[in-house]
Amino acid sequence: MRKEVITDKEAICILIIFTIGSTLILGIGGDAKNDRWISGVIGLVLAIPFLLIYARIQTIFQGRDIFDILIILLGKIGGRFVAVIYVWYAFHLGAMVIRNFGEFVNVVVMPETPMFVLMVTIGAVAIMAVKLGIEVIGRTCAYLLPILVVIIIIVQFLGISEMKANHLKPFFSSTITSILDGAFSSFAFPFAESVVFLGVFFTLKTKKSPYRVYFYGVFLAGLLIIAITIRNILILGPLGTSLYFPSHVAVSRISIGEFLQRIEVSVAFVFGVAALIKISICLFVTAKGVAKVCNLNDYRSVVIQLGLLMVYFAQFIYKDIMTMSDWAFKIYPFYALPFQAILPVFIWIMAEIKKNKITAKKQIA
Amino acid sequence: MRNVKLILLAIIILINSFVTTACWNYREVENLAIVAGAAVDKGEKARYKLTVEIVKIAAGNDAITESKLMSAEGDTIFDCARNAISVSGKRLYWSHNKILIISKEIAEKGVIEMIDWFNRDSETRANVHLAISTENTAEDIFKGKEVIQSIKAFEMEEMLKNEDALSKAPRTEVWEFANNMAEEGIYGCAAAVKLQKMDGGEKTPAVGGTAIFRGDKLIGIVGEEETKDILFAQDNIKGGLLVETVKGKDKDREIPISFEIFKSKTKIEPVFNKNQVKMNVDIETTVTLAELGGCKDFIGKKGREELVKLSETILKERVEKTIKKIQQEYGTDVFGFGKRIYENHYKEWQKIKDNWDENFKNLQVNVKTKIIIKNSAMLSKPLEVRKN
Amino acid sequence: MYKILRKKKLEKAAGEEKDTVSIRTLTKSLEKNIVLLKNAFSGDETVMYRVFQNKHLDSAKCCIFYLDGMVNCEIINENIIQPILSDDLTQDISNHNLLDELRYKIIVANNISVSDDFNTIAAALYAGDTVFLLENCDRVLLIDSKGWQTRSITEPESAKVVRGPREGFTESIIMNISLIRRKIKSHELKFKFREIGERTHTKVCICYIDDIISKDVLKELERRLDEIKIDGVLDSGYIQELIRDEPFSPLETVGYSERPDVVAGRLLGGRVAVIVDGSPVVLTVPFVIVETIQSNEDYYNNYIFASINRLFRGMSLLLSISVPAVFLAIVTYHQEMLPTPLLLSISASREGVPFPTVLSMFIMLLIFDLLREVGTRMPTPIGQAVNIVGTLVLGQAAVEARLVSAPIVIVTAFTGIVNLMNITFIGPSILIRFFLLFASAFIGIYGFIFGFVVTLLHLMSLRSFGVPYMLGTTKIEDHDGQDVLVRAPWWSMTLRPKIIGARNLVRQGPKNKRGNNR
Repeated sequence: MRKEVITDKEAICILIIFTIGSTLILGIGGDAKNDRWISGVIGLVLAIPFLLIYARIQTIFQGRDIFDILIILLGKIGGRFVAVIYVWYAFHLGAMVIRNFGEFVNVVVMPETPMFVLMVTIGAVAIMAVKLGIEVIGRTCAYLLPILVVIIIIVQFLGISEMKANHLKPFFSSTITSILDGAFSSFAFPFAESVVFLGVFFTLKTKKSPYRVYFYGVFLAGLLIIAITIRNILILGPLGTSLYFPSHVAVSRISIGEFLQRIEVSVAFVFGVAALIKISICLFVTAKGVAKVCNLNDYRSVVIQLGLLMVYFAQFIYKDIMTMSDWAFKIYPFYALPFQAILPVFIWIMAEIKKNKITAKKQIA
Repeated sequence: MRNVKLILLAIIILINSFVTTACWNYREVENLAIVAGAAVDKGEKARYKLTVEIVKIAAGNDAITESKLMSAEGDTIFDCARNAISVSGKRLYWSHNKILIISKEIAEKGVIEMIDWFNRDSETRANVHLAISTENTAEDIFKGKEVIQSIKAFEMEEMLKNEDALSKAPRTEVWEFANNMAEEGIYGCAAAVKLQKMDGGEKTPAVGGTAIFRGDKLIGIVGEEETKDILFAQDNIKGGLLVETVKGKDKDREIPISFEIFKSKTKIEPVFNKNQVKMNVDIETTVTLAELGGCKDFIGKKGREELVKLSETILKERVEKTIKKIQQEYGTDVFGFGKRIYENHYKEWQKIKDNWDENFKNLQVNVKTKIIIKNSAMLSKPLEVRKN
Repeated sequence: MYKILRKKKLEKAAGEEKDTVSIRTLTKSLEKNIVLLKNAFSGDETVMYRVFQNKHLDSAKCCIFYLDGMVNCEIINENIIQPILSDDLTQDISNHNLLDELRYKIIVANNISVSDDFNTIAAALYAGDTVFLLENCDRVLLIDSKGWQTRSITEPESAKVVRGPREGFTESIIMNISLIRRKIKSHELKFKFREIGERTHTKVCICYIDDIISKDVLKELERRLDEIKIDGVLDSGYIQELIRDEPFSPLETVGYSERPDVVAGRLLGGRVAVIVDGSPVVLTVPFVIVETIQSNEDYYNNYIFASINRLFRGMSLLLSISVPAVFLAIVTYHQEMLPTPLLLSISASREGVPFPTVLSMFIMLLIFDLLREVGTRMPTPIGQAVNIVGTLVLGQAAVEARLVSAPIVIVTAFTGIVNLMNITFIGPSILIRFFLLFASAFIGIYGFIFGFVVTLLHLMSLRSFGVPYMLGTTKIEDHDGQDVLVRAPWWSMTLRPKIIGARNLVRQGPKNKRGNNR
């Protein structure tokens, strides 16, 4: 089988789409009211050192995925054990995004359609994408990202007439704790979710590229997300905090003249595509991990099974949208902390030690 | 062989998925009862009576539309909307609703239920215009006669949209009202609608005046001219006319003058003085002299200065008068003075926010006006009347 | 099951064939040789033969075989029979190696070869050569006397241009090669022949510019051509299908053209052409999707104008697959997206129509494609009449009778017309359109979005001879994108696409900046 390779640019595109994924529709910042964007900025800044750690891990073990790295560092049994934890994280994340999508469509447009059908559909497309391989996903992302960005920018400009600058004021009206809370939640969702890409970026060509990709990818995505958050605050005002899907409602307010109104479909398009890519990446990493843990030759053989499991899991992961929203903003940051921060730091330190040993050995030899 | 099986399987799945399931949300357009406008009244048997204006479409290549009224009662708004099925047979389709009219009676008890439903439901749109009926019931408005369009709700939407060039009623959408209910230092207001007599004795819906709320409860309705003053104080004037009469050369003859407002900017600045708050309201309006009903020269330098001074005083007086009236009669801060303090002087706001309602009643408001006459339209001089 | 049966059948047929081929060898006797050939070609009455002898030299007793209709009789009469019959062969010819003497000194023909192998003789005979037998000789001369009617070079009906050369390929491979050679007079332009088809023995020519093309593509193409086992090749379409990647994809991964200028342009772009005898359509590989929206006229017209046209073509490509699906999704699932007046007028036109929107849309699209096919198959004058009757009358009447609503007719007609803009994309676009239509009917606009992404993923996964099918569509700033949705001016297109023409990127010198600007 041909070794799959993605270029830096494609990797950045995947990362951007992944990061804006479900955030685009759920919004960031939790309870920070009209200071949500400040939370976003702080979250992004918080995420940067961790991105550097992820990139560093990937650079030390160039061409190897996280599961290989774990097995090298922790031995066959310990490594597999931690690898299973990461497989779980990717699997769970994918299921959550599937559920987000299902809830969104179900609540917003199609209340009578069973959510399971919607989730199976997006799951099936994700399965197909993963079966075609990361290279195809990369190229598709490179094709789709400009479309998405253009749509977002156009909508941003169309929204200007509906924006009221005083909705941003007063700055820091919410308490510092709630801003920091929001920052923490936006760090965990979505910025540090890029830890999943440790299972993808082994396909990068050069040693330097992980830094470039991680930095540009998350930074540009962060800018987009913050821009969208500010837009939502400006258009929605205080009502924004009580909406599940602020972007959708904000865009539905836009109406230019008689004809150019009701352009929520743009949000649907961007969200549909971004969620799909996010799910595909999670499924890819899950499949890759399962293949590594079980010593399979090709991850493609488990994609369909895992994909369907993921959809099924999404079905019973939350009871309703209220728990989903609570989970995403309140519990998830703490739940994700070990995967996003604690374990990577641990792996990084191990990797540095191991690396020194290897180089020392080489020098002796 | 395997391929054949796969294809067969795919076809079976496809056919199944279409035959057994395909109409969850699939709706044909002609099966929709398109709601153009809705009116909420007190019900006879249940709590609410919802009257909707439905667009009835006649078959044909040209879209000929007719207005059709339909009412249903229920204990909540959504209950009414669903009960309407038993009248129409079709489910009401709310996405194209343009206006929500609430009767005075209901509004005085509180409108939160309607506001909530329009913001919460995914089919209704939150940018529906909100209006309060000054007639006995809200339903009456829809019973009036249309003038140009066949659908009254569409007509009223046009009226509200074109208020920008009239400034006699505020244009409030449901989401905006919801925001105003929640925000600190401001109370919402809505347009008032009434029936107006036309030639031939028929009545037609008309928009004019402001319904003043306190929280979600209606507390009063003010007239059209006062609405303009409120809009001046809110910095919401986008157009409209300023009409005044001044004394001319002949002592007994008054000269009517209309200015067309092109741009108006109101600066609202609070001034803090120990524990006392004062409001400075600076109105700067750019107008053109659109009508000059007399021979006196207000266009030359001297006359112009005189006119400007005069107009500024007139405007100042009327805005001040209206603010005073609102303060004394209703005591609700529809101008958003408190909101200005909240936004720009957050710390001071923390101190005064608890008794802002009381403060507002006695708030000292200084109105300053500035009128800039941009041009005098096509004529450079007043018309002359030859003296014999 | 079916495969096994077929295999058995094939084996059986091959066995039978072996029995009939008996070993035929030529002898020294002319009479025996004549009988041998006559027997071999018995049942084929187009095989003609004539025995004749020189007036002066008795030993010069000869016989010629040729195929009626395949030869130029003037060549045979004047250049073969005439000199042998009437010249005095005794004078300057030694008896001792008569065949070679005749070959070198007497027969006037541009190409003569000697053979004693029956299969070669038969092949030459079928190719229009004259077989020349001589008494006392077990070898024969194969004299080139080809002469059959060919179509003259005309402008192809399917790809007419307003500006540009008016030549089109014909059915003759030699003529086609000459048409290409006349455009590229470089010693690097290579032609390699091979024969494909166990019964038709069709000549196939691989044509490329040696110092531009990527060797991998050429090697892969040769491998695939060598692997072809087929009894007959009647058109380049056979080869096209047998060498393509992704046999199950509806999208073409091998390009074709009837115009020499297009093929020459693609050769210069680093592609390899495959010319098949008997077909006026020349194949080019690798093929990327942007070639469906490229027209040769783009390169001859002003680049701004050409770019606008190309944008139109790109847009029509997108519209032709997506308009019905989006319309369906919005009208049946997301009525809130329609502006109110539009909703009312669509609703009015739907009033009283019995069929659901999906079904009527599906039927109308089918009918349009049906009419298109009828129009193509009919002789031109009737075809036009059919189209007018079909589209105008049928559409109008259907709306009048309230069988379908007017917007659906408009959407169908628009889709159909827009679809015709990219001739090579008609086939795939039908499939993709229906796929998206069904997806939209399933879960509305989300179905469309996912259908679109699935299509995109499929396109992205396609490769034509190792080259990504969507080459150039994901990058705009690179020179790969210069010739995609717009056609950059010639002075700026200095490089060839990286992956196709890997060996020689420079198309023209960098000096050629902006024409004659001073």
